[in-house]
Amino acid sequence: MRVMLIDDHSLVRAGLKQLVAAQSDIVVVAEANRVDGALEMAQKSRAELVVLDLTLPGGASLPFVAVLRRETSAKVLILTMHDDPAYARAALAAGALGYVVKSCPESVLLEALQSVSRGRLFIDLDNDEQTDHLWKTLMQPSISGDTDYSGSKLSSRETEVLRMLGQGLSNLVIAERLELSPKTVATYRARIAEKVGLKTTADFVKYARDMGF
Amino acid sequence: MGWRLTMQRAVSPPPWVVWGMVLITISLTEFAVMVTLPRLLPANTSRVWDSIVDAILLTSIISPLMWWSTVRPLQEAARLRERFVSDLIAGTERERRRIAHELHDGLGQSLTLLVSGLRSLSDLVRNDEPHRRVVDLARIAQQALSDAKQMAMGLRPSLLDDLGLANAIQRLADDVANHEKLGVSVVATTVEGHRFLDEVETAMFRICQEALQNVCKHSKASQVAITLSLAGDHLRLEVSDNGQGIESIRRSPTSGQLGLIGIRERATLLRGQLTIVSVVGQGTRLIVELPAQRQKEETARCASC
Ligand SMILES: Nc1ncnc2c1ncn2[C@@H]1O[C@H](COP(=O)(O)OP(=O)(O)OP(=O)(O)O)[C@@H](O)[C@H]1O
Ligand SMILES: [Mg+2]
Repeated sequence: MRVMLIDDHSLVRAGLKQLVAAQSDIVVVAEANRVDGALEMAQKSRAELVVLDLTLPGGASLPFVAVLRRETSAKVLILTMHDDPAYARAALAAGALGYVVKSCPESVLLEALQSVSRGRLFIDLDNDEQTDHLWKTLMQPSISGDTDYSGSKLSSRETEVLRMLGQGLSNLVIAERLELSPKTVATYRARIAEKVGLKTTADFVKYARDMGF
Repeated sequence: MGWRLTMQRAVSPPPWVVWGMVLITISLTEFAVMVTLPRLLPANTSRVWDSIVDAILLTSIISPLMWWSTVRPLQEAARLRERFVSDLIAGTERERRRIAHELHDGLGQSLTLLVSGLRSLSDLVRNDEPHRRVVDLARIAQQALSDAKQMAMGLRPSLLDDLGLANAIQRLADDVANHEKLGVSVVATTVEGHRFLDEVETAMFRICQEALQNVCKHSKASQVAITLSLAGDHLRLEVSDNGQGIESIRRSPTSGQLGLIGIRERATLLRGQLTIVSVVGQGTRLIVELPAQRQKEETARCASC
């Protein structure tokens, strides 16, 4: 697993590198302390996983998550000071697959690296109650369709939407990427839900992964 | 040889001077007009005609004088005051943002490394006594970290800059609900995902903060509902409680009572409007509407720059 670290605190990066050095299956291939130029570095180093801080000099890096997802195939793990669930929700909606608060013990961070590199969603806000609550809200039932499509095959557009849902992206982000209205995406989502019998965001993530999307 | 600049009367003279000037101007003008009137008019014109010419003369002499001596300085003073106040507010916010950022991402970052390191260390130290000491130290560092975060939040929540007004107000409501015996609900569906001009978001946030503080301090309410919505091209905030209501709002409040005045001031500076509706025994509704200037996508704010 090729990992890139983006954090403006050299101590944080040093700690991470030390942590990773003990792992045989993870190597740090690039480091950056700001968003400027980080994309090129990620592409050149062919990073498969980017560990990203949310507060960097030169602006908040939340928009950069979407850029990374669009321009590279790297998975994104957010490692930040911010323990407010709103930040986690925004980061996951932008396309991050993991969200870990920096005060978590190193073992949690290792677990997060492993999980995210295998394509599994990982969240730890260093507060069990809030983390559980966030999981629950992420898994709220989606809008259900009123037409019966069950049993029919997915169209190519629906497959595309399913693939993106599987990455944990929100309707809004998908709408933006496919240049559709959020309402249309919701309709697609409802149709897919009917056709393959899925309900929650977690179902979508699991199904998409099982299908190898 | 050098020079001296004395600035005692920079904008407007003290009120009694203005008052005296007005009285003297009117008396002198009236005197002059009465003296010249018989020479201007042919003998034995009617009383009505007399009065009309008198009025016209008096007005046309006094109005420019009053304009230059009173109205213009007052206007100037008002304009200057408005600029001063809005600069002061902007400066305070900028400074608060900077300190909050230093606390959260400077001090907080170091404490975070300490917490995370001590926690990991405690897993390695198996010996009973050292293990306990490390766990204690980790707890102390954790407390210091959450204090630093709390202080930063109190100065200015980074949420407001990073994720916008709706998220910041939601967090404010959560904090109040956790600390007071008060049910707080937030509805902000129509503004979620929208970003507005920095001044607008800051003003709305501070207004909401003060309104909530008033509800906690004075209302004895059990419920408060916060509604943030887009009404046409206006951003609208309503904070309504089911408390005891306000009996009357004094025009010049006793010292210290500056909350509502501050709200009105912030609203007027942004060409907005404040409405307070209160029924004694049933509760208070505070409504603020500000012109909703959208923020351009590119100009995302950042604390460190
Ligand atoms: N929600 C409310 N319910 C009941 N009374 C209120 C409410 N909001 C304000 N008041 C009354 O209006 C008065 C003026 O409020 P204002 O916020 O201007 O001053 P304050 O809260 O007393 O002082 P400060 O805000 O400067 O600390 C309060 O003293 C209180 O009596
Ligand atoms: Mg008050």
